[in-house]
Amino acid sequence: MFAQKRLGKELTNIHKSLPPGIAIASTPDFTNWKMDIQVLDTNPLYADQVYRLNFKFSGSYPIEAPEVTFIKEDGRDIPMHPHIYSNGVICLDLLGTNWSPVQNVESVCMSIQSMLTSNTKNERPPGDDTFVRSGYRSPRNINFVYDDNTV
Amino acid sequence: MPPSRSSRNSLQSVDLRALDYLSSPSANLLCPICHSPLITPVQTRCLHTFCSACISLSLERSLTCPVDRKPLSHDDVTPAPIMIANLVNDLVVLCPNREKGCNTSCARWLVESHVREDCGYAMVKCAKEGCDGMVERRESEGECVHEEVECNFCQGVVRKLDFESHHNECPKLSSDCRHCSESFPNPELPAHQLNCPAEVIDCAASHFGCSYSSRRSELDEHLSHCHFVALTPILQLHTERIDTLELENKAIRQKLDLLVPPRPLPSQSSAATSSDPTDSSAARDMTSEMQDYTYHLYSEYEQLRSDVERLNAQIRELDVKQDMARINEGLRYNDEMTGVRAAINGLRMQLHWLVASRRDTVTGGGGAGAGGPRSVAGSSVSGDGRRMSDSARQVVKL
Repeated sequence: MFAQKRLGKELTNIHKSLPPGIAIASTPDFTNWKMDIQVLDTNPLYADQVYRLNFKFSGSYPIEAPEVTFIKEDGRDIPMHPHIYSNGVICLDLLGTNWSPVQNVESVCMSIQSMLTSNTKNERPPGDDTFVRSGYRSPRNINFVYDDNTV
Repeated sequence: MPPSRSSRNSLQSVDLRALDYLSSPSANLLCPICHSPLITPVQTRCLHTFCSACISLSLERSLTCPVDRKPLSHDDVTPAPIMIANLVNDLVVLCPNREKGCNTSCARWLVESHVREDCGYAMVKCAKEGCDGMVERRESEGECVHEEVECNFCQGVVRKLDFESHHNECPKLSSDCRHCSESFPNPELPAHQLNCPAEVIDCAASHFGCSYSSRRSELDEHLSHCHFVALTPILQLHTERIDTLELENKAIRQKLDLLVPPRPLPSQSSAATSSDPTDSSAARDMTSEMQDYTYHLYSEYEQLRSDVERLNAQIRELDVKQDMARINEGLRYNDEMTGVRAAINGLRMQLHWLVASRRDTVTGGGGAGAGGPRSVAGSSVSGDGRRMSDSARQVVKL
C-alpha cells in the first residue's frame, strides 16, 4: 500500500518530465519497472547506445532499496564497466548499504547514468566469470565490497 | 425518538496516508520518504522534516538521516513546529468514501469527524434495536435491511439487503445465458453454460501454442485439421517425460549433495570468524555458496591425490616382486649350471678311464710274459679309477 502509493506518485512525476537520456520503457505494475538510459556525451564506450534497467520493488520500498539490474532486451546490451557484471548486476553502494528512502527511480537512473559517463575503462569487474557462473541474478544476496572510489 | 448521536457514529477508521488531495500541495509540505503531505510531522536534529511513521521505519533500517546521511538516533527526532503541522492539516482532502458517492471535501483535520459523524456513505450500525448489521448512514433512517423476507417465487427466506441478488439465484426464476442469450431456469444454467454451443472457446491444443478460438459448435471442424491437436499425444508424452526426468534429476542431485558433503576448511572458518560481525545474512549466503563450491573442489582434489598415491605404491610393489622373481630364477639357473658342469666332468673322467684301459689292453696283448701281473696291476689301478669315477658319478646323481 505504502509502496504503491509512493510509486504511483513517482510514476505521475516521471510521466510529466524526465532528465535527458532517461526514458520509461515499461511500467506494467508497481513491482517491476523498466527504464531506458543512455550516455549523452561522446564517451566512445557508450556512444549511441541505449541500455535497459530493470527495477524490482518490494513491498517495503522506499525504506528498502529496489533491485536494479541491467537487462538484455530488445537488442539492448549490458554496458562495459568495471562495476557492472556481464549478467547485468550493478555494484553500486547507493543500491545497497548506502540506499536512502529519499532516493527515487529518477535519482537512481541519474546516478547510474553518471557512473557510466565518468568511466573510461573498457573492462568487467575482476572475477566476472566466476560471479556470472555462480548464477546470482539477484543483487540482494550479495555483499559487495565498495572499495573502489576511482570510477 | 431518534437514536442517540453516539450510537450513529461510524466505526470506519480513516487512513490519512490513503487520502487523496483536492489540489497537489506545495512540494515543501511533502515527506521526502513517502512523497505525500506530511502526517504527524517530526523534525530531526539536522532540521529535516518527515512523517513520524516514515522516519521510524527508516531508522529501523539505518541509523542515518535519509537526506544528508548524518548519524541519527530515535532520540534526535522531535515534533516539528506546530506551524508546519497546521499547514499540512489545513490541506483540503476528498472524503475516503468518494468512490461510493460522497462528494465532500474538507480540511484534513476535519475528515475524521466527517466520516465519524456526517458522511452519508460511512457504514454505521443499523438503527433497529437488536440488529447487529451495518448499513450506510444515508439508508439508516429507513427500515432495517437486515430483516428476513420471503421470496415470492421459491418461498425461501432472504435478507432484504440480498433481495436483488437473490433474483439471479432463485431456483424458480430464469436467467439468460451469457453466450447465447437464451433463457434457462437458474438451476440448469450452470450445466448449460458448460456446453453452450455459442460460447467462444480456445482450441484444445491452446496450451501447446494454437491460438485459434471459435464458437464451440464450430470448433470441431478446426480440430479435425489442427496440427497442434494432431501433435498433442506426442507433445503430451514429451511433457510427461520431461517432468519425470526433472523429478529424477532432482532426486539424483539430492543424492549427490549427500555423497559430497561440504567439509569446513580450517583457513576459511578462521576467516569467517574474523570477518565483520555487521555483515548481512545475505553476504553469508553468498560466501557459504562459494565455500560449498570450494569444498567440492577440495574434496575432488583430495580424492585425486589419494588415487595417485595408491597407484605409486602399487607400482613400487610390482617392482619389488619383479626383482625377487628375477633373482630366484637366476639362482635356480646357477644351481642347474653347476649340476650340468659336474655331470660333464664325470663324463670326461669316464672317457679318460675308458681311453686309458683301452690303451692298456692294446699294449698288454703285445707282451705275453709280463701281461699277467701288468693286467693285475692295471685292474687294481682301474679299481681305484672306478671308485674315483663312482664318486664323480655320485655328484652327478646329486
